[in-house]
Amino acid sequence: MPYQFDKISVLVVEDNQPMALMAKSILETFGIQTVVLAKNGEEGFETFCKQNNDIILADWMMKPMDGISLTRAIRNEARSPNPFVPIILMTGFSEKLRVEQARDSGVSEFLVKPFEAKDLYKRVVQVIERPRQFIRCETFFGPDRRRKADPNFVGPWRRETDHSLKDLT
Amino acid sequence: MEYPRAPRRRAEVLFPPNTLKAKVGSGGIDERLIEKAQRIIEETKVDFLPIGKRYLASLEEGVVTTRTSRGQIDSENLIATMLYPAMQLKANGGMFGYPLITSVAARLIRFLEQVHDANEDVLEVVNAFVESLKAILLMGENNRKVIQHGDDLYLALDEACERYFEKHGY
Repeated sequence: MPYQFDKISVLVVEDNQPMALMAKSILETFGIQTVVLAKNGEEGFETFCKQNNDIILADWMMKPMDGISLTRAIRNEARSPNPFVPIILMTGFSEKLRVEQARDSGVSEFLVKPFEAKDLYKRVVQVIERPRQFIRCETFFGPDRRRKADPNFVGPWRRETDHSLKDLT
Repeated sequence: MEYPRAPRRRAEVLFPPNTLKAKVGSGGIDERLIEKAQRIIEETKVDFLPIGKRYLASLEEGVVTTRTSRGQIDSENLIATMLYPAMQLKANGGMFGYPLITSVAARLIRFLEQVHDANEDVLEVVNAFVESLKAILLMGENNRKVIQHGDDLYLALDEACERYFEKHGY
C-alpha cells in the first residue's frame, strides 16, 4: 500500500513566490493534499504554532526571519507545538561550512537548490523512514548531528553516552 | 595518539515517537508520480528575469557596500553581502530554466567562500561575474550566442578566479 500522504500536512516557508508554488505543486503531485505556504520564518512560525504541521520545508534566506532562525524557534521556543518536527532546509549553499551551520541549528535534512523532484522525495522519505534521535545538551537541542557511530573513532569523547563507543571496540 | 577523555559533555538522547510514520504508513509512492513532479519543474514557465534582476541588483549593491565600507566592517560580513545574492542566483536559476546562471553563480560562491579579504582584486573578479550574469540573464539562455559561448564564458571566469589565487594564494 502506498504512503497515505493525504493524512499529513506540509508547511512550505519560502519568500520566493514562484519557488513556493513549485514546491507546493511537487508535494501535491506526490499525493500530499494539505500544503500550506508561508512567506517568511516569522509567518511560518505563527502558522506552525496554529497548525502543528507534520513536515516543514523551509528556505534558508528570508527576511525578516530566515530558515535557520525559524528552526531555532521551532526547536526551542515554549510556544512550539512540536520541537521534534522534521525540518528540511532548502538552500543554494552546498559547502561543508554552510551545511554544518544548518545542522547546528537543528535542521533535520538539507536540500540543495536547484533540485530535482526525486531529491525532494528522498528527503521526505528520509524523515519518515529514518528519523534521527534527538540530542539535548547545554548548547544544542535538535536531531543527532552524527549520522552513525564510528567504532574506529579515536578522538576525544564529547558526550557521556560515548561510553558506548568504548564498549563497541 | 591518546586523547583526554574527560570531562565529557552531559547529553540527553531522546527518541521521539515517529508520528509521521504512524500517519503515512509504508510503501512509498508510484515512481510515475516522481516523474510527473519532475515534469512540473521542467515545464513550469516562470519569468525568471525580474527575480534574477533583483538578485543581481543585490549583488551589485554588495560590491558597492564592500568598496565603500572596507575598514569599517569586517571582511567576512562584507563578503556575505555578495555571497547571499550569489547563492540566490545559483539556487533559483536552475529551478527556472537558467542552468548557466546556476553554474556561473556556483563558481562565484566557490570563489567567495575561498577568499579571505574583500580587496579590490576580489571586487574586480566579482564584477566580471556580475557582467557575465547580467548578459546571460538579459540575452536569455536560449540565445544562440549564449548557447555557443556559455562554456567559454564559464572557463574565462574560472581562470579569473585561478589568477586571483595565483596572485594572492589560497
